[in-house]
Amino acid sequence: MSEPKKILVVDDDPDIVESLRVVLESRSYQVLSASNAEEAQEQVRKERPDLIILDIMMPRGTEGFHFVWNLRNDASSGCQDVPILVLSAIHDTTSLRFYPDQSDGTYSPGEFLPVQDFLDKPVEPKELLRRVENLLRE
Amino acid sequence: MNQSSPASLGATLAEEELVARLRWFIRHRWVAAVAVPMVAVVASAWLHVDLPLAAICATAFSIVAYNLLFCRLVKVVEGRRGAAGLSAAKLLANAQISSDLAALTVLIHFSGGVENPFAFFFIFHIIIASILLSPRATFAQAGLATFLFCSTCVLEEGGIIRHYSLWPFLPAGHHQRLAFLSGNLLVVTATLFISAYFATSITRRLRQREEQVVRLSEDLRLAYDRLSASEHAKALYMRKVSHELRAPLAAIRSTLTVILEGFLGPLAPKHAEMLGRADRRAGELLSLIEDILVLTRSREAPLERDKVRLSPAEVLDSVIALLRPRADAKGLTLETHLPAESLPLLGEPESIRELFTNLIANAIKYTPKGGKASVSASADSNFLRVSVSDTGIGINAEDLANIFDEFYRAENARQFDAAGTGLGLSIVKAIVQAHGGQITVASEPGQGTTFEVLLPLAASAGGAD
Repeated sequence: MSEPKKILVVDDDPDIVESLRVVLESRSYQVLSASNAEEAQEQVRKERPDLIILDIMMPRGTEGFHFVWNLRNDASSGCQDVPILVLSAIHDTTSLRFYPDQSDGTYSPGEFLPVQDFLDKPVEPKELLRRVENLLRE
Repeated sequence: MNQSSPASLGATLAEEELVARLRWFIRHRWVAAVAVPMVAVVASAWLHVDLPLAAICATAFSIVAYNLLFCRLVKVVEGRRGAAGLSAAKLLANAQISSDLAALTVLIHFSGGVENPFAFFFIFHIIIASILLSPRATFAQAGLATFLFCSTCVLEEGGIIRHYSLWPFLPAGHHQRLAFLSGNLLVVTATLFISAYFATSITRRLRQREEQVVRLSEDLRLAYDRLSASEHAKALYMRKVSHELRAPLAAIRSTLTVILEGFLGPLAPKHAEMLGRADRRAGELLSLIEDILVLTRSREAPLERDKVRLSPAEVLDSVIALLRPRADAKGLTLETHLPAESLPLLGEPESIRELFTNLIANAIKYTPKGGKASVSASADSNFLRVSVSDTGIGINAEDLANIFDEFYRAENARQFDAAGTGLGLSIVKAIVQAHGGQITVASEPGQGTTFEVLLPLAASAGGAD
């Protein structure tokens, strides 16, 4: 029997995390969770997940953006290329352009966030599972 | 006190204006310098008066000379800023007027003195002084003119300086007839002071009016700034509130969906039904919040950096492609007539898409099965005209005026389809207005509705990227 795939859910809303956990565990994925970017980074190093599901609007503003850029720019984690599915209550991907207003030099404004997929909240379980399967197959 | 207050700003403005008028004054003096010898020549030939043409020409020449000097000085004054510049400009204005008064006196002396009707030309300088200078300086110039003219005439009368007779234009000896002399001097003096009085009181009134206008426009600008700041704060607040409301609702719906879709095991039918009701209501609330968020965003004019050149046909094509399944599901015909090519539309892509999505989705929503909806677009060099029409339920005349109001839903629309926030058309109108366009609607109840949107197109040449 093959090892279950590990999925890291990064969201500060415990109720969303719980819903995702129920849905994902129903397909026998192993679900890890983190409620902020720091915790998420730690989990990435320790657990090396196969997929990250990320909420973009965490308490400290656009923490999710920084998390993505840090992960993609950090070769030492060994998880530089792990697929990311962004889950957000932001209505559409273009109204908020997925770059923070202040540029801190690690990326240039206007550059699109290097993630693999987007999904709107609230979560549609079937759609979520379909996307997750797709990302894990690649 | 060193700050540039509105008062010092006013001083600088006045200086600029004064310098401009000094230049105007200098330009006209060239004309005078040329006209003087010409008039003298014509007068001596026509009236057979024996005028000292050499002296008159010499005076005209000296006018040219000091005008050249003033030309230079105006440039110097222009270089100075603030209070120093203003007082230098005033000094120069005074000097110009005094010089002119002196030159005019000399010219009058060479052409008959008190007998010369050109004495009334002093009035011009008094009027100019009232425009350029303070009332006090204007009266001082009037005094100087009076003094120069009267003393010249008196000296001529006493034989201390020569009198140039205007004979045969006038009988000789007039300048020594006391009644003529004193009468003439009195009238000229009175004329000068009366014109100084009238001219200064009129210009004072005008200046007050001008200051009032400046103050008012300043007030208006401040009020406008305050208003736009509060509008912006309101929009920001709405956005925050909407996001805060969305988060718990999204959690509620996610939780309900997980249960409803059986991820925790099968549900009893009644459980499923009740949870379904809760889920639908949460869904309604979520779309309401979403619409409020979109409406708030749509009301703000798009930022320049968010504006993109869009091909109208491409935008409409993509929107229609997304909505076609809805039309197909209802068995509606969805016709399109799009121009192959047109100038680009300069706008915020998401808003433009939202605008057409709302209009076309409405046409599909409010048209009964088997009906028809059509989207046609045309463009000229300035405008894109998109009309969305349907063979739907239509809008009653009494509702037409209100359909763009927030939360307004016509009774027949409500009956035809219960779902809807009543914000869709408010969003449409807000987007159209934020992009400088217009929207009109025509409808026949029971027959159908046509919305027509007019949006300005980007200029063909030159890129605004």
